[in-house]
Amino acid sequence: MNPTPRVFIYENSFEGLLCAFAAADREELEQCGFAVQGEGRTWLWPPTPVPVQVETAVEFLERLRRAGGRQAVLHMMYGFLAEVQKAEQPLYTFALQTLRVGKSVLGMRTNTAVRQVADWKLKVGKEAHRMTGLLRFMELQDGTLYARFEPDHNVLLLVTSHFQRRFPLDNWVIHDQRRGLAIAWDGKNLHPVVGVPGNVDDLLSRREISFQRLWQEYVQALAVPERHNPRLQRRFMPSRYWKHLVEQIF
Amino acid sequence: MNDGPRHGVPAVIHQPDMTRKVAILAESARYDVSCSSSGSRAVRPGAVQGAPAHSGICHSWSADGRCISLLKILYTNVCEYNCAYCINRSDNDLPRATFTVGQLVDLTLNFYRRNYIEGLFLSSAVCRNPDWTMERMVLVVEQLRRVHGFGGYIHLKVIPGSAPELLERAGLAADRLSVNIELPSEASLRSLAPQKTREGVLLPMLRISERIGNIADNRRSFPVRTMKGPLFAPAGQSTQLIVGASPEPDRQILRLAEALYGRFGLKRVYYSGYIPVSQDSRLPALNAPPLLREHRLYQADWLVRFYGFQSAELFDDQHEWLDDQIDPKAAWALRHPDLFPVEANRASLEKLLRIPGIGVRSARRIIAARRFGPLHPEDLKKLGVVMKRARFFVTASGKFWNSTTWDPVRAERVLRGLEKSGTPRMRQLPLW
Ligand code: SF4
Repeated sequence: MNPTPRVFIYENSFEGLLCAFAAADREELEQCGFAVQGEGRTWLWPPTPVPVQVETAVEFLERLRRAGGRQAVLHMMYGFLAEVQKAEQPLYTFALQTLRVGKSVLGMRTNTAVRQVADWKLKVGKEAHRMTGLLRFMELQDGTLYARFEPDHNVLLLVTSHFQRRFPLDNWVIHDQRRGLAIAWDGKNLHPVVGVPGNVDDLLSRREISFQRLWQEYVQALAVPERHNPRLQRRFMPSRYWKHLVEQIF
Repeated sequence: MNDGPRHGVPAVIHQPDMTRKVAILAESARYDVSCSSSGSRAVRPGAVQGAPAHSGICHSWSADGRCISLLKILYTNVCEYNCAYCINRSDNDLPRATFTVGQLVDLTLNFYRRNYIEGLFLSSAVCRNPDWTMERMVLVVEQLRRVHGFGGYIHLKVIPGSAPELLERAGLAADRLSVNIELPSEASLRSLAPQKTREGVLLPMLRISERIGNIADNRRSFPVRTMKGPLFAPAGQSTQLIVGASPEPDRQILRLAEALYGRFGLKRVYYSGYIPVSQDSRLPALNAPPLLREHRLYQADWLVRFYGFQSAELFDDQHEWLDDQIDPKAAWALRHPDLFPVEANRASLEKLLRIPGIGVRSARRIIAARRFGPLHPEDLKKLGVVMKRARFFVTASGKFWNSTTWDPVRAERVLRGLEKSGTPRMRQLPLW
């Protein structure tokens, strides 16, 4: 007799996902379903809701770290932040493989699940890195630096640590408009921001616009006409990112 | 309303001519290719704003597809010299401008603060004399570091013929120094840049590499990186040379680059395809800049730096120029049919790296993956190997991919066709 197909319902957070994996692993399942709570899907068999318990999540992550090291943990985290549909099963397979073979799991690119997870890691890391360059801060009247963006993946936390090193003494806010998330740094601590004012553009400092103009002027002057190559420009800087770039508003 | 200075960023005195200066001095700087901001881990003691990111960050890309990482700009484009290949030469009729130290410091800090740039790449024409110019440039960098605690990346160009004391100050304040070698031979330098001398270029290069080397040796005896010796150009030195303004073949250019990497410990040699900016009879009449040639030189340079090739392997007396239809690695492979095909399950990293279509990353992946069992031709694709190139040269478990057979003549024909029809031929490499 086949066992009843199992579906684990988890709360949509990294901890929630890890708890679902821990539950599936406790039952030694290789293949099973995972779904986010509240998606309103119907199931043939009653699904199993998994409550979030931080200790369970931490414990599962710690097992992964002991087996696969920091890199394996980062792969799981980036895989979650990628926000790809149906990422659960590959991530779960990746976790099981890690617990089984340890660090060398990262070399198993011939395994489909491992390859998918490794590719998400690359993609998310690449977007985070790209955003450390493409974020544009605007100076507000009170001296706060404010930047907004709409990344494909949920990279807000990943770019934040970069700007803590870069602007340690400033007050700044980074705002993911697509997800309605924002984080503020006050020179000592990070805070989640609830409700970014909608009229940020009215709060710019007096000199802000002049520096934006200087930057536009600069970027235009720097292009070598004999090498004109807008296709290449777009390849490095896809047009979906242009909206928030000071230099593209001509 | 508080619109005043914060953390040492000066309130801007917004001169109406600032826009004009920025436009003129960026335009005059744009033919310089280097924009790298990588390679520095130096967190400077006393830095209160900014830190270099080790991997280099592009902040924008200009309409020519080149990465903008640093505020690349000239201090002045007023020039005493008259180098034939240069847009800023004294007899060219061109709008001229000169920053003040304060203006450039202010501009850098404010661009940095908005995350437009990773730092400053300051170069200059030779105004009045080399020392006057170099001192202005050094003052900009010193002010950024000392007065404003600026910890971002700074690349400073050294003006040939300026005093050794200025070079010393430059090295203590900047992350990277560069002296442009400009042309690949002394004869060309004499003909096209008569006011510059080989010594004027090579002496500062030698001095920089000595200073960097000495510091490195000192460091080794202090395993804990206390700041015993102050940092001197921690991101090393680079240089640039112009390709296509003078007759030297690729073979000679790469031999020179190889020597610069080996003997002077340079981090990068940049090749800049000559863009016709004047009608001088000493210069070739080109109707387009040699971008493809430049691209091939970068590919070959890559092979020398990361793939274990020696420049001499890429040329012989019949082949003094890189092939314009085939990339240098494939051209080398086709001239050595006896070394192929290579079996992916057995070959060493060095051998894998010499297979066309296999890069550093895919070679490493092959080695990691084959520990889990023998690889088959389909697996290579999953590991990131570019099969349309590699398929002629590599087997996995004894089999070629997609019923290819070992046939160097056909391989050459197909590879030549690929470049013609496929990706744009004048693709530029991202330069960092
Ligand atoms: S000294 Fe420099 S700026 Fe002046 S003409 Fe020669 S290359 Fe150009």
